[in-house]
Amino acid sequence: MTVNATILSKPQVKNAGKLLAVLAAAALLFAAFLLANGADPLAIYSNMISSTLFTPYGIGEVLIKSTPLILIAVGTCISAKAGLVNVGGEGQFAIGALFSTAAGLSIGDSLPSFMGIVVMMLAGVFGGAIWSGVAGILKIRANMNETLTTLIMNYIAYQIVSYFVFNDLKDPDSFNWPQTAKIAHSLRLPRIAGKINLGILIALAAAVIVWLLVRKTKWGYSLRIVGGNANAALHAGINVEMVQIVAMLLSGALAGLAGAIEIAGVEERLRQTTGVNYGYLGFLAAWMAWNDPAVAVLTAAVIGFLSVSGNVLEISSGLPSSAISILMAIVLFAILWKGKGRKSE
Amino acid sequence: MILESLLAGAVQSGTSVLLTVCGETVSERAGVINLGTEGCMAVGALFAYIVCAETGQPFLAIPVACIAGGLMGLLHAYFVISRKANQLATGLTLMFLGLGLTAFLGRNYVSVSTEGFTKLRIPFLADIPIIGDALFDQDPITYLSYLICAGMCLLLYKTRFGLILRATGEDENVVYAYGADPIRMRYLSVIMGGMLSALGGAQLSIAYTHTWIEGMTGSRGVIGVALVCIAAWNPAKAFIGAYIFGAAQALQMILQQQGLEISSFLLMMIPYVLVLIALFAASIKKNGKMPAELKKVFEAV
Amino acid sequence: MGSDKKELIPILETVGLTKKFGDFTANSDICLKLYENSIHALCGENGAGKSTLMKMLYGVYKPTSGKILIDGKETEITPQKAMECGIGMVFQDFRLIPAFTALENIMLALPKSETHRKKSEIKKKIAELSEKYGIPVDPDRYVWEMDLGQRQRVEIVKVLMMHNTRILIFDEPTSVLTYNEVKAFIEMIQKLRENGYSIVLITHKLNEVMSCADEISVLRHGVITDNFKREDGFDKNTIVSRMMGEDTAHRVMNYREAKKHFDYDNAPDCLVCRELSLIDDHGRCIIGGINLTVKQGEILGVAGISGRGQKELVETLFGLRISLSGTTEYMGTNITKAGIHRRIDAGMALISEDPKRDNVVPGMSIYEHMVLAGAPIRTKGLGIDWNIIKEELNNSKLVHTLGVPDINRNLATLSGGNIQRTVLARAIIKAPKLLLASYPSRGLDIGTVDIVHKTLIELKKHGSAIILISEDLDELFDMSDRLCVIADNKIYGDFIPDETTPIEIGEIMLGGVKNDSERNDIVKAAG
Repeated sequence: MTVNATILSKPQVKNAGKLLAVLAAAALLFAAFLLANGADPLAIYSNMISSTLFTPYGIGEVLIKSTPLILIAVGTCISAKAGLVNVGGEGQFAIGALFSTAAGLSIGDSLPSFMGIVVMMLAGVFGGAIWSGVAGILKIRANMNETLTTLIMNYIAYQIVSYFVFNDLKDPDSFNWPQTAKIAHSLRLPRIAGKINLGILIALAAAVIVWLLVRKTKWGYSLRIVGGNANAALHAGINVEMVQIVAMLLSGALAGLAGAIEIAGVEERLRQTTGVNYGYLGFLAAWMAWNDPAVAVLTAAVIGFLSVSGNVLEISSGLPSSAISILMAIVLFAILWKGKGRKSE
Repeated sequence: MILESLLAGAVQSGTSVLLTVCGETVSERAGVINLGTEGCMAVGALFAYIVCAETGQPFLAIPVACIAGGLMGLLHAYFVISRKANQLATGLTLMFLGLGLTAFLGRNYVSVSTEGFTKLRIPFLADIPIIGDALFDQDPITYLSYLICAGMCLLLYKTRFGLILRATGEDENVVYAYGADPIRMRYLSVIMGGMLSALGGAQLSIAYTHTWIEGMTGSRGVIGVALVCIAAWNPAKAFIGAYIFGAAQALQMILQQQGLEISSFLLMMIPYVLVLIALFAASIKKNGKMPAELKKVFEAV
Repeated sequence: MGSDKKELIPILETVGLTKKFGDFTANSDICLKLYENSIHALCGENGAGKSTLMKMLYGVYKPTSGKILIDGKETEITPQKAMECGIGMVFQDFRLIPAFTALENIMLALPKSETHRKKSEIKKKIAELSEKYGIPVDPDRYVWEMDLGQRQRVEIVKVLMMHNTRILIFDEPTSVLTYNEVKAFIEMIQKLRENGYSIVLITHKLNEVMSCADEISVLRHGVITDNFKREDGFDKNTIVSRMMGEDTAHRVMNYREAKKHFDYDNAPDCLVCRELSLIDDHGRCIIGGINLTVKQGEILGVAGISGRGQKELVETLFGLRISLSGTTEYMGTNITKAGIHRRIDAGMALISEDPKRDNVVPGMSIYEHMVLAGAPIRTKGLGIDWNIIKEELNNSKLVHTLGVPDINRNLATLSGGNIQRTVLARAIIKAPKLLLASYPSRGLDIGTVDIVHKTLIELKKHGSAIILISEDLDELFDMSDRLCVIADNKIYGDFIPDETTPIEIGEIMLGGVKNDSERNDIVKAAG
């Protein structure tokens, strides 16, 4: 009894309780929506959960879906810690995927598997970093608002990817489908179990490294000061612009890496729609985690779960795929409604 | 001939963006940024289309679209003002909601056709060389957009309401100290922003393209948010960016019709690149007019 | 009282007003009476609870207990209600919107009944008020273009524009004015009194109020300790001792001793500026042609009305700002183009005029702030070794002397005084060779100011140069080996404190040097 009481009064527990309550409210709201559209919410919910969390296939799907979201969310955390709002995960992912596809296609099977994969990953990192770096330079050199530039560059990236999959990189054997050829078999990311590829481990390792970098190192200390009060950083002789541009590059690099992993581990070819919305979802995951890379892993996984269960919804209820966006929005609004449960330390 | 059709296309395609910029300007002047204008536009476009298709009454579609957009604005306002949620995250979520909801609700209207508004030539004015056709041989919502644009200037700069609204965006404590209610001002302006965006969406679906298709707003809402910054938070300058964006869209279509050997994707990039360049020019000019309360949004990540 | 003449009902009265913030009692049992046509001064040291009291009178804070009476009637005050009752407040941090013109700011403050007025009508009324009380205001000027004195005048006009205003509350009005501007200010409030206004004046500067106040109340530790009335006569020494409390009334610092040890002529140069010109945030030249030498072991005092380029001066010397022209030499090397980082490494430190804006990182603890260009960062492998840093800080004598709070606390949540202590400790802990100190004693109580001064003198004795910027002429005269004055987009000086007077410095602060012959006498290029 007393033990229970003390545990329940802990702020973290209270906070988690509140979170569950708003999520339950979101579930109820969506259930009402389903009912209104003539679907059986109970059946759909149980189906959504049982087929994702209770089958090896489902768990695998969630992990695969979470991989890019974790990387993008963790990247967003870095830029946010520097006081920059990077909403450009979408474009950075796309350019990363484009670069690594191009690298993969030109390597073919001329390199040993390991080297080839490393080159593909580096190409992705490079592509993502270029895309965020442009926004970063525009920010520090021309004082252009990075929220707007990254957002607009998402659309430019989409057009660039579209151009390449329709033109220079189009697979000649694809019967006019706008997609590239498949990358060589040797360039595919090794699988660790079932369909799950090495990507999830790379993403988790990236999260740990970023967490250590931000929390423990001198650079991370500068980063937090720049983000906390750029004026204070200036007064302390910190090169604010340098810190910001590096943060932006790292942020884009991780999104680009996510693009590379998506190509080498999951899709094996680039399409117009590869990774659409991952950037925005990753941003929201980071925001839900209050830009803490460790928490972002969890929130990204939750969003990954929602997307996968959304596919189940589509199959089992016959509702169009856009219903998933509605579910996602309701859940996000529920979390927004709850607000920041703890004070910033 | 090409110039004239380019200008006409610029106005036609730019009107929806112009309305969005006007709406977003009002909202940002009160200190609230709404990245979800895209969602508001989509909702406006769909509801206007549904009303048109069901009743054949385009004039009925306008208020319905505005109400729908106003509700979207209200949702944003509630979260960012009353719940103090992060404005950028709420805006993105609103965008998801708007796009998802319209895709879902509009799925049965994709193949339905409706007439909507047709062009209404204004005598004499339309005969002005070069710009006459572009400005005065347009649909009724476009004419409405001229009035709204001018009305917003008057509202912001010539009325006490506008004075308080602008002050709300600069320092809410001052507004509060002098007995006005900054919360009410913010609610009103965000709702107004949602309504105008939705009207822009309505122009797109029932007066310009005469179709409904999922995602038809195609980032116009997002572009609108960027153009507010380029217009230096002044509705009088909103049309510059909006029509340049419209012209870029029109140019791309004209070039395609002329059968030019340029990929449509590269052409489609033009508007975005132009917006980036315009943003660059605006910031080089040291356009430090961003409302002070809005700066806080970007500082408090 | 009340024997032969009818007892006056106070226009504003507080009974047992108390305000608590958590466990802390800011005001306790305050009983005050303000009569019509009078000036009531409220004196107290920083932190005595004056601002809290004022905010209750204006309805910004709700009292924990006690009541406020207006014309003898109990009234629950909100800012709105205060305005309706005719209370006008001139805040210390003015309630002005910098992006608006003076006119727009004034229009914003107009009550609903006045909103129908035309712009031309309002402008006319502004001109009338300006004329009547000697407070010139240009209605079409943007507030961001104005200095603090001009902003104050806009604020005052704003309050007077409301036709029902009859009580005016001024919160530290003279802190942004010079000796001479203060004179004009006092004339203005006397005119206001003649015209039927009642005035509450909050200040810690006694000289100013003794000349005009009808009644002086002393506030100390949140309690009204004494009331003095003009008809009973004011005695400065009594009031001062009541304000400070007996324990700290007598300063024991021997400043002259410290100055005597300094051999100005033989000391090596620390900082030399030649024809340096500074630009402000709007790209305008705010001070031109600065020739300045600071010697090692010297304290150079810089006087001037706030906002006349003090910030630009220290920021340029610290490398935060690019100078328009001219050169800066530091310890024999030209550092005109050096970045902040290099200057910090070379032993420069800056105490900013606004530590909350320039130094405090939200969410970070004091120890995390202390190593920010202050105490050395100890590392272990790739990471920072916070344990060693904390241990070193806890063992630091300076940290204790200055009374820095528990180093684990979140700095952003602490009071201005505690932030100031932390920032000071951080700047001094690394024994800088050149300390740029902007208003180092602002917001601190008398006792701590004393410690700060001692610490600065100690630093000076070890050969550090200090540029001391202050608006408190007493502090400048006490501490400085030499003085210079910012006025009129120039720097005048230098002056030896023993050979000049606060009045002379005050006059230069206000209007520069009057004519050419005088200028030649006083202005000499230093170095």
